[in-house]
Amino acid sequence: MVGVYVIPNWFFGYSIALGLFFALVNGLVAYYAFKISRLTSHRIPGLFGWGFSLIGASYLMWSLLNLSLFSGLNDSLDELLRVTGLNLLYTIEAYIHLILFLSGLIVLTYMTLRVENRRTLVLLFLLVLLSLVFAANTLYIFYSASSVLLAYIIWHYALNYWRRRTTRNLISLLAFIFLFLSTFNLAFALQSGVFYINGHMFGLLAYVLILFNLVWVLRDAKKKG
Amino acid sequence: MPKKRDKLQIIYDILVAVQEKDGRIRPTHILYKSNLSHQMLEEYLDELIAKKFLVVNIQKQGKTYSLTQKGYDYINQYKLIINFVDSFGLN
Repeated sequence: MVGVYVIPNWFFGYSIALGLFFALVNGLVAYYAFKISRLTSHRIPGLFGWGFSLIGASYLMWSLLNLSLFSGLNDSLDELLRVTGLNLLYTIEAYIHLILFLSGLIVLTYMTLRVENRRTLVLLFLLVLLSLVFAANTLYIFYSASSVLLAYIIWHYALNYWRRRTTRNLISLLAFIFLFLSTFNLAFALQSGVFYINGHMFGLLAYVLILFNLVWVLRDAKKKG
Repeated sequence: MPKKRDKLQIIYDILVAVQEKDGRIRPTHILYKSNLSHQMLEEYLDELIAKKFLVVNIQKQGKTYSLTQKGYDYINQYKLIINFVDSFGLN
C-alpha cells in the first residue's frame, strides 16, 4: 500500500506547477552536469547528472500523477482522496515516483562517498529499494530513507563549505538543507495539508537556490578573462 | 606558498602548454611548463591520451603530443567546468 496525502483543494494546481518547475531545474542541472562529464571525462559530474535526472523524472511523474488525478475529479478533491480503493495505474505511477526519487538520492549519495567500487552503488540500490517495495507502510520507509540519504549529502556539502567558504558552496549546502526540510515536512503530509504546503515551499526554496547557482555559473563562464 | 592545484587545473595547464606550442609539443617542454615531476607527468599524459584529449605523434626526431578537438574544447570551456564543479561540490 502506498498511502494518501492530505492536499488542500486550493493548493492542488500549485502542487502540479511546482512539480514541473522542480523537474525543469533538475533537468537543467543534469544537462550541464552531463556536458561537464563529457568535457572532462570524469565520472563525478556524470553521477551528479544521473542523480538530478532521476530526481527530475520523479517530479515529472509526480506532476503527471497529480494531473491525472485532478482531471478525474468531480466536485470534491477531499472526497476523492479519501477513497481507499486507489486504482492500479495510480499505484504504479506513485511507486515509479518514489523509486525514481530514491534512485536519484542514492546516486547522489554514492557520488559524495567518492568510492570507485560500483558494488557499493548496487548494494545501496538493493538495500533501499527492496525495503521500499516490501514495506508495510511504503511512504514512511520512503521518507525515512530519503532523510538518511539527504543527511549524507548535506554532510558532504557541509564539509565542502568548511573547506572552501565561498558563497556558492554555502548556496549548495543551503539548497540541500531545504530539500531535507521539504522531505521532512512531506512525511507529515499524511496527516495534515499544512505539511504538504510547507514541504513544497521548502522544495521551492531549494530549487530556486540551485537554479540561482547554476545561472551564476553560466554567467561567469561567459565573462572574458 | 602557492595553492595546491587540483586535477582539473593540472590538466588545463598541460593542455594550455600544448596549445601555446601551436598544438604540438615535445615531452620535455610539457615537463617544464606543467611544473610536475616526470612520473606525475607520465601518468597524466597516459590518462589524457586514453581519454582522447591528446594524441602522441612518433617521428624520427622524437615523440610529440598534439591536442585533439576534445582537448581544445576543454580549454575553451574550462571556466564553465571549474565554476560548475566548484559550485556544486564535485571537486
